[in-house]
Amino acid sequence: MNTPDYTEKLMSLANKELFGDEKMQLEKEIQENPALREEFKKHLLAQELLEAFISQDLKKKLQTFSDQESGKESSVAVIKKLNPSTYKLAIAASVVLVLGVSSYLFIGNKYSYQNIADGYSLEIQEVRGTNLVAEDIIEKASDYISKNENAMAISILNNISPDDDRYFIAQLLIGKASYQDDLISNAEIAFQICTKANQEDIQLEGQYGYILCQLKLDSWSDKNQDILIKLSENEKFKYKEEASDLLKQLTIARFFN
Amino acid sequence: MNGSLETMDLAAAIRAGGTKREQALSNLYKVTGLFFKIKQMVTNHGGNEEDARDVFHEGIITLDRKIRHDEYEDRGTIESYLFGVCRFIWSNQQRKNKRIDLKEDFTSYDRSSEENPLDTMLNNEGQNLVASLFSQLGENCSKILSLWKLSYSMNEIAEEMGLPSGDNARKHKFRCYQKLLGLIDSSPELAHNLKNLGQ
Repeated sequence: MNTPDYTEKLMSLANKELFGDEKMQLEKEIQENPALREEFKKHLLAQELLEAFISQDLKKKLQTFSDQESGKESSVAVIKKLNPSTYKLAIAASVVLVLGVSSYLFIGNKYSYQNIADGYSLEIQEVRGTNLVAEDIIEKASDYISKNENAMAISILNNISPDDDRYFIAQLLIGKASYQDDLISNAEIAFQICTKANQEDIQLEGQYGYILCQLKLDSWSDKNQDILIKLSENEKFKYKEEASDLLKQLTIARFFN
Repeated sequence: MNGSLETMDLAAAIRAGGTKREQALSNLYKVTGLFFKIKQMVTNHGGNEEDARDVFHEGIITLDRKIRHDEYEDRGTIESYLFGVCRFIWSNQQRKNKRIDLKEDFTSYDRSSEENPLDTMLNNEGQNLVASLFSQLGENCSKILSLWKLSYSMNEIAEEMGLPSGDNARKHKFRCYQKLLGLIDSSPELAHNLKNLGQ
């Protein structure tokens, strides 16, 4: 019952992707087989959980719309509350205030913008919605990964979007962090994305990460073997020696598998 | 956005998924006067603006789900349908809080499918459970599976995720799904809900 073929069929039926005779046949089997019926319930629950996840995601997006709207409303509301003469007075007062503060700041070097700025440092946030630029995120994430704080690293790296030129490096780090946290399926996806990078070193590291994931997932193939051979022979690859060593070990392992 | 939305266009855009769905939901959110109408209904029946905003969001989420599941009945404008959904949500909430009972007036909205106990679990206590489960599943797997659930084709998923091909995306989807099943197996709270499912 737990064969991939059955899992695939039950998954399709639960997601309403199965039709005709195939659907009828499987429904009949489910009715007649209590073990299969229990297994199918799990698939229905998986679908419900996915729906719940989609709803939570949509809720977050709607909250963003709402925040944008209320931002707009609040500034409009303040202006609306002022009558025309008060409004003019408020503008005049603002201009005087801005001019006054500016002149004050420029009197004497002590109050120059540079001196004031020197007294402050930018706060770095390590949460979603961060204002860190990609380079800072990469640096911070590498630091997290070295301390084995992988979830934190993944969380900030996901802020780097595909249109950013640091995207592939971010994916490489997500792959490493996920791999360290034993999230192999996620690591595999991230490494595979890296194989599309323009920079050769990222491509090669992505391939190597992908190969290691395949081993972990017990999904070894001749194609993977070929990739590993190429990596072990590539002078440009940083982990050439490791790849070569892995290849030897796999050759020995083949005798036992 | 002004005026009434073209119901069929909007429903079709939501069904199509992807950016079309997001645009349609964003347009629906901005329909002039729609939130105001819902706010009036809620505030006239014991709620405040924050309650109204929550009800409005829940209403859009329900509408989105109903359209995607082909449970949406096109009997009037989408705004009046959404208003009916919101009215039901608020009435239900009031009933639970034993405050006020709204008069029955839920035109063009079928409530029968809203009484699923699993829905209740997922909408209330289970939210943290869902968040924790998908965090264990990981960002990439969660994204692949939700795109699949939102009816993206395998090629579209591959494009969205930066994977080499649709076949490759299918392989990842299957692995991620198996991982989700594994997480369900290892969660006692979910096992409890599993027992109640379909009874």
